[in-house]
Amino acid sequence: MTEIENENDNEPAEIPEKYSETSLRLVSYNVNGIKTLKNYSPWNERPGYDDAFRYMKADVVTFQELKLQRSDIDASIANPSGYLSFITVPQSKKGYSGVGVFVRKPCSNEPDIIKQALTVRRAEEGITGFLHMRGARQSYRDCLSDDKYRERCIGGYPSLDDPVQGRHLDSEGRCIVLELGIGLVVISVYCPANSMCTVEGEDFRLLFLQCLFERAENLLRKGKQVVIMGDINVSPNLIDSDEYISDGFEKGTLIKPNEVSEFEAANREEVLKYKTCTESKGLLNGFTFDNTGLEEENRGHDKILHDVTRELQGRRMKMYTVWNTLKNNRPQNIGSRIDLFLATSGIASSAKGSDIWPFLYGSDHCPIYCDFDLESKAVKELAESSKYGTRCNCKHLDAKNYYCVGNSRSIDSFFRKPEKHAVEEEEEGHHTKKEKTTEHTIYVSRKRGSKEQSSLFGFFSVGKTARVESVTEVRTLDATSSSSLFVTEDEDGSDSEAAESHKKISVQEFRKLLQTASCSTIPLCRHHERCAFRTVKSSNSGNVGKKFWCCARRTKSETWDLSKDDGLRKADGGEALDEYNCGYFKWATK
Amino acid sequence: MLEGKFETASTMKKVIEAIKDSVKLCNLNCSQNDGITVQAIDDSRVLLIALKLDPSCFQEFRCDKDLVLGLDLESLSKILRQGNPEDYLTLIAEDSPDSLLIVFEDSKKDRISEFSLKLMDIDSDVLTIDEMEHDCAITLPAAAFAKVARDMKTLSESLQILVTKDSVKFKADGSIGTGSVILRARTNLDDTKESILIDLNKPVNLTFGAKYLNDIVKATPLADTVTIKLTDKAPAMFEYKLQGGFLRYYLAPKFEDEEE
Repeated sequence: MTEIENENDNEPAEIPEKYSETSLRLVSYNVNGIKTLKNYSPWNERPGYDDAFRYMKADVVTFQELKLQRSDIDASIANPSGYLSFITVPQSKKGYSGVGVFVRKPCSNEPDIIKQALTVRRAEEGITGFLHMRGARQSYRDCLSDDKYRERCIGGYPSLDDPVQGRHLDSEGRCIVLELGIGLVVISVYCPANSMCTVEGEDFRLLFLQCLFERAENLLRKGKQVVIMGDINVSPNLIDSDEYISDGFEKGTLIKPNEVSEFEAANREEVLKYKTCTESKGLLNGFTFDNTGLEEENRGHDKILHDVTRELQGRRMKMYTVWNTLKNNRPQNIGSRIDLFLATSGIASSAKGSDIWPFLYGSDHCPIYCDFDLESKAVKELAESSKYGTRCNCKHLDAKNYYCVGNSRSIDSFFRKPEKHAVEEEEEGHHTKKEKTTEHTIYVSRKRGSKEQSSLFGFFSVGKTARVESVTEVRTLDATSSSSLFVTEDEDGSDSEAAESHKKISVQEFRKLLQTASCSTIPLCRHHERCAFRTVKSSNSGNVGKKFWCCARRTKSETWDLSKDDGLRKADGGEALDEYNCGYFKWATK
Repeated sequence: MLEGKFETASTMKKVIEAIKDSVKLCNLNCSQNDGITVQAIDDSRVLLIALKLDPSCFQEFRCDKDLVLGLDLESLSKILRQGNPEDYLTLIAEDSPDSLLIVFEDSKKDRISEFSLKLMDIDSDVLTIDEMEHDCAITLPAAAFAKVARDMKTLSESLQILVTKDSVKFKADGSIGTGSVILRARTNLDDTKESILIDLNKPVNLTFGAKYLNDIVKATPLADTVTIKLTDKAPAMFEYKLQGGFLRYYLAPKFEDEEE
């Protein structure tokens, strides 16, 4: 029920406050095409990417599957105000994959530890170190032994020694590695999914994961702490895969316990079997500490990573981060959890809050977040030992330089804003907006140096006011009563404003029209959602081939539920509208 | 009441095709004296578009009261594609309109098609743009400029433009290699449209985003020639003259890497 309520609400659940002023919030979101994200609430109300980052209160945020080509990357994403941007896109496949990492630029009045944490000391593209460092004309690995560039390398490269294979592995824009000023290395990844299930695809995927975990292990040995965040494309535990559980119930390999909390204990064997049932799961779980509490000896010696969200959320069921959109699985929460924060012990111990944000739409995934307390002992020690030399060596990968966009100044900074005009003509409603723009202008000038900007203002002279006056004149002439110039203006002003707001529609409303215009004939089911169009397939009803509309959601029998109120629900009367198929049915008429 | 009748639909069709990829939404400002004007900035705020369609652009034009028509350009372009280029095109709006009426008339076939497009409120500041002094002005065939912009984009995201007394050099320096095109000033007396004119006060060396130049050259069908005005550390202006009006693009240049 709650989910239906959520959907009707605009912003149902809130983005939680950060744990404390001195905590670092990491956010990961597989956006599945950053351009489409902007069609969804709340992102459509936030035109700039920086607005979206601030909305999530993110300090370091990574987006996967940007699906951008080099030519799509403009200042709005490569130089969002207040954030440093690092972007990797595939070298050949266009509009595929791609990872972006955005690091907030701290304000001067923030705690020192935050400033240190948000200093990006080093940045690398790719996981293997075989990609070329921009400007150095050699790979990161080679740069490590070059005095000139050594300072830019994060090191800890995996044992893979074939440069061709390494470059191939990193050719799809899947990984950005950042070293922050507190000695924390944040690896943002979009791991391969091998959705086509090919042998080569699986090899590629396993090699990528192997390199990823090896890199984390090597960095840990070098005294760093590591957080791997992103779309790992592997669900670590049985309770992270809805499909596997439904299958299990159907086949009878899993049993429904009396208490939800006993689910894993009751199915101990299956839970353990699941962890290594595919090579990729085995690989992930080989490096990740057990959190089911069922593994007999936690073979700690080769395990280095904690699945932070899971450890903080306990054995919560149906905590998923991705849903199959083709099957419309999200409303019933049939999904899996493959977006993870994997952290080494030191930093993992300082994690204070981590959760999924399933109320945020716009992709087939939802964002996940994690707050790390930087005041904790482990982080303090780490920060202290890394304090020496917190210099920023990341400029070569900074997206605004890398994609040569950042130094394009915004065009409106060259021209004068119509301030006089605004005072004279515009009404209060526009004032708030104006203030906002002024703020923006101040920001630009601060960054670019006011000298340059003010000198350019000399190019443009006053010219606008005259026209504005003529506008007012025309309006005055329109008025029939000659005595009431003041009233006329007033009336005109409020009239035009009011009339416009009544008659014209907002941009958002227009977008909504665009979305529904093409399907206005599609009936709505009892959830007030668009119906699915289906054809009768069963041959025993005599209606084979006939087409009909029905609720697009899944029926309840298609999924599983451990709570025992099945009987109760029926007692409520079958009429109650829940998150499952509402039973709407209508024959399609031609 | 706004009533603007174009002798052919082609101008409006080409104008909207030229700008719809750069800006999604824009306000059409209509007034009796100025005709229809548009000022819009692309999402990345690097390119500004200024359109002016004087009353002389129209066969008939009247606008009793100043109007602002907020339009979704993608939708407008879909409607404009329904008419033939040689149809009469009339734009009609009430005094406080909620929609814009678009009428095509095919006089030969006695076919009249009528569309209305919902209007919306679009927040936008109108910036003041005055005639600027410039370091140099180049007039060249629009198609020649389009070819350079498209060709060079395959090499690099940036295009450098260097102007001297008698030539313009376009230079691209990309990861796969480099390229340059030189166009020399020439006067073609037989066909003045083919001439390349350079009016130089000061040599210029500026760099622009190739993506934006490619957006600009979408206006090529509108005019035979394009005039480019360049000034150091100021926006470049690209002008396509219309029969009684213009379509201008102002593009912010790229700056050299600055130490922060």
